[in-house]
Amino acid sequence: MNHNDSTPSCPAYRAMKRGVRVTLVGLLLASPGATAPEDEIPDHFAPESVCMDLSRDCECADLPMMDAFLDNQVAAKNKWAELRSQTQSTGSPSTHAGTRKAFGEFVGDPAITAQFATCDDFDAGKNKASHVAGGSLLLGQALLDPCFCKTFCRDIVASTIAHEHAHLLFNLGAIGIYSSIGVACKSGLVGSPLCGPLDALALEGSELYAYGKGIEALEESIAELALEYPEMDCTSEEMVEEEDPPFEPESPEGFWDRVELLGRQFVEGQ
Amino acid sequence: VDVVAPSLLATGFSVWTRLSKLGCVGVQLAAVMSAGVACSDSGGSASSGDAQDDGRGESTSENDDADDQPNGSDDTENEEPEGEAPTGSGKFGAIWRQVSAELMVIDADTPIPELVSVEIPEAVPFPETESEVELYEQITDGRHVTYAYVVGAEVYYRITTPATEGDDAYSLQRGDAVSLYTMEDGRLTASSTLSTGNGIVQVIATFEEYTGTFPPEEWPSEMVEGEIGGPLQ
Repeated sequence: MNHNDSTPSCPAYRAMKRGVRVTLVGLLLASPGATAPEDEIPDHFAPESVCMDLSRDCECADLPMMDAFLDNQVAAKNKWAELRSQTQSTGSPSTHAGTRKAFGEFVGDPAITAQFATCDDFDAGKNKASHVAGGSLLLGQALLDPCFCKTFCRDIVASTIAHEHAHLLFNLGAIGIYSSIGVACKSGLVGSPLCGPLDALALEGSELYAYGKGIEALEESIAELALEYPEMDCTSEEMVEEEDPPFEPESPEGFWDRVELLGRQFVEGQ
Repeated sequence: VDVVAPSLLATGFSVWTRLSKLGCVGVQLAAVMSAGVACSDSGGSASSGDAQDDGRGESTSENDDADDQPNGSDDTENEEPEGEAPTGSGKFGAIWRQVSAELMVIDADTPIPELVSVEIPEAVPFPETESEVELYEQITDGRHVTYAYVVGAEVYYRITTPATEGDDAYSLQRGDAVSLYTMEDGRLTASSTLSTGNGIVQVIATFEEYTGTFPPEEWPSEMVEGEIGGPLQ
């Protein structure tokens, strides 16, 4: 990463760190999709190398968004973990589609959607925050929405690419196990109610794995960025609060008048 | 086979072991998953030490070859092709393709295990897509390797997973599945178990050794490589 020496707008970030955190409400998904069938990847998506070129280096001023993106990924991963736990304990969600639908209830950070929409040629009908990337089995790489590439800095883009690569590798590396069950279920040899939940479990496993890899990549980038700005408060560490002045109680109104009166009465014997 | 089964699960494996006549594979897997299951019959396993040592020794060079490899067919005409599998070796380090599977399905509604046999086509369907994938497997240098080619793709994949060496066997975890690879009469066999809240599926996959040039000539030269493995966090 390259960074210039000018001081980025870190006061805003300091304020955020002091508690003005964005509340996670709203309608954001902004979570990369799983390995998608080729025909589900929109035509306008760009190969990962093109996307990286469209993006820009992350700087100190990007840290709030990097943190927000990371938090969003962690929250999404937790949602998948919750779904997987349900499948493991109850067998539900009971299908691939069912588990996708259940994940659709995940509510992300609206700040991410807002930044995505700042793309200069943003088209609400075409650019969807709920689907900014996909893994192409045929090309062996990630394809991403150019608006995502242009509006988010390179480390965020790179973590999304890591997410998609993880999907490709996990799905193909584990398919040997699932293929026997898939053939048996598809051919009707197994009429068991296990076919659906096992399908759901494969998707949940892939998502958990991919989110883990994306999160790992972004955490490393954030740590590196903090190291590149040692002289600034541009870190994810807790800010040192200024110490409050020592407590000095003030005298109540009329206090000294009463002291003087008491003193006079004592001296004059009244 | 002498099975000490402390649970219904282990009992299921015991039944499966007896019915499938596939030696001790199922019981070995059960032993991996829950302590307290014993197996006293080697069930015709390949003589271990040699298989492991040879397999791993050969596979190191295979692995290197595979890394350097993807050169298509041109390079293979006048000299021994790089990455060619140790044909006929019958060892873990050979290149293997799954040809069939025996499934035991136990679900909550059906107390009696359902046993199913399936033939695996040369290209298996990729879930939720129209794509088909040609798959080959290998265990080399303490790692399980999956070679995958999505029909029509511009690349093929080489995906490694750390494998733990056991007694004449290798175990590995991919996602929610634990798999145990053994050699049975010179053929690679993999036993994997998956479970959900409403049941368990155990798959015993049987492989056939691939004896041609590897990677196959039809595959593209570009390779995408990566590693997966371990329990999901």
